[in-house]
Amino acid sequence: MLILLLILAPFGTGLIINRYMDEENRSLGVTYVAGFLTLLASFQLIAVPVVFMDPWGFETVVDIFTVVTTLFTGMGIIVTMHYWRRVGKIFHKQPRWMERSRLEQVQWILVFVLIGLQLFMAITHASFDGDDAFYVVQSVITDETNTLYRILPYTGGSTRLDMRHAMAVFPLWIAYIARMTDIHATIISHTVLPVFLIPLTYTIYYEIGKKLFKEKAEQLPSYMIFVCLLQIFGNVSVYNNATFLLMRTWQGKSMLANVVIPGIFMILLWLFEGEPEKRSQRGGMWFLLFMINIAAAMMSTASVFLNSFLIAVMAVVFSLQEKNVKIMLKMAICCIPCVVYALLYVLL
Amino acid sequence: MRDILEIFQGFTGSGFFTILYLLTLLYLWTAEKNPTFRSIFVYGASIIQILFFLPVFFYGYQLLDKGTYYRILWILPMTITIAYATVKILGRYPIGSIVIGAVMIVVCGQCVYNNVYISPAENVYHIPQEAIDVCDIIMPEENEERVKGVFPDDLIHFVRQYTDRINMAYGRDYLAPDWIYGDHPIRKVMNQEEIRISELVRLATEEKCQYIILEKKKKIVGDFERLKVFKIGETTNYDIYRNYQVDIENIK
Repeated sequence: MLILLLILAPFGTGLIINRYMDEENRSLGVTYVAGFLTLLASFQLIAVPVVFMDPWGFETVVDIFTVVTTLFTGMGIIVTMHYWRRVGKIFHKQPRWMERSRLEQVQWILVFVLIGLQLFMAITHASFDGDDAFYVVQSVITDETNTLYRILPYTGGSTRLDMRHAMAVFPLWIAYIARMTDIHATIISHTVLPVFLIPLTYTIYYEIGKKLFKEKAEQLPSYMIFVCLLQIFGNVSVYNNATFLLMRTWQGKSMLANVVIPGIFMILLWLFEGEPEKRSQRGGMWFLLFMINIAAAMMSTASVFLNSFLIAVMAVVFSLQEKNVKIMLKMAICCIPCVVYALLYVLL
Repeated sequence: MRDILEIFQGFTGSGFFTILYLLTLLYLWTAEKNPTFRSIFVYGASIIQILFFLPVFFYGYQLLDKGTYYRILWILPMTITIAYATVKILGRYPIGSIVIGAVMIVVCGQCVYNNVYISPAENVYHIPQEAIDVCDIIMPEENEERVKGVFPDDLIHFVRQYTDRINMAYGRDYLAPDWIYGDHPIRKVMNQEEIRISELVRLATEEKCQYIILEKKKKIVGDFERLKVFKIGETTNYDIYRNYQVDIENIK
């Protein structure tokens, strides 16, 4: 079930978006990341209204999201099968292992060893963080009682809806994984999710690297080695991204810092690479930028502002550079989810 | 401005990555030719940094969310810029670049696995086994309502990560000294060098706590049994008492 929910379903969903990307960008990694973010965004769209309307509505969330996930995965597979029969290939051709130089092979092995080490440590070592008494317990409560944000995680007493956290439903998504797999939500958070979320982060860094080293692909593994080392040796403070990735992987804040924000850089690189007139089939990317802003809202209330701010800065830069106001307009449309969630947060 | 600088220092810690980032950013300012990379990693990132240090921007952010201003720095692509520029600078010598870059990061950085908050996992939950053992002893039966207990500070974070069926008289919100709640009256008694049983049981009963968990190393003054409180179990570091002044209710 874990493989189904955290590998196959995102991959199947990503296949739909894959169809709306230019051929060169269609890869396993991009498909997986796109599907993962789309499913998270879908969960946010389903869960938040239920949180407001039904205090004991977790079963409803589980039912609707399961149907949506199944539909998306099925659709992705059917659409891709149809396309594959017609065109004969799904993904852009990647260099084979044997075509790489010996040096590259050694470097890639080192990358896998470094990522493997992080996964091994995530499974065998516990990391203490005080915030778990809130976020992880929120997942446990939801899974065990079907109650949505009406029980105080710290003590177990009842409370009214906590607006600050009610729209950041990442703990509910963890509760969903726990419910579907019948594994305790704390085990899902601390032991299972890092095995999937750490590689997800590295997949995004890899896809970014592919764009950065498009002309010198042989340098990509060196870049990935540095990315890994910067995470492992990046514990220079309690606030930075690397610390969150390896010590608080399961918290929404970490997802924001290590999946959503790098994900935006990945999308920006896809959207604006190459000459403006040669850009085609970027609809999937714009859609993904829209969806990532919905997914961001489930991670943390601050994400609504951070995403809008980042995208606004980039919109100004690209609009000026390409002398094209439409870019700003398109990016503003992609930020609508952030604006809506910010308004909800302020008004409710 | 001092607030902003303090937040910046808190985020950058030793400052090593920040220096590395600024150096690599400077390199990209001079050497990056690709207009897309330049827009994102040079112009965009520089604008974000400038805005971060503007007091107007800081106070505007405070209106939205307090205490999280450091997260603005998350949207700086530090990791990507350092890794990309390092490879670009030293790329002609792949083995040399990896060795130099790796040594630089390892020597100047802090390995996350040396952090005092990371330790070998005692179980698959990644919480202390003793917290689980205590919870298993006081866990209500299937037909019983949730129970409530008073716990020492060392267990507070973990009890409810294990089960929602055990409530607590006070939680993590009373542990952080700078939070608004102040100290909880039961916690005040629990943290005294000598715990006065009569006072503790009175407060626990008022809070409808069926269980009291005490550290073995604590000195106790008074007689539990006279107050209808009996020891029902123990773990390596804790004694577990049942307060019979408060009933455990059956699920209706």
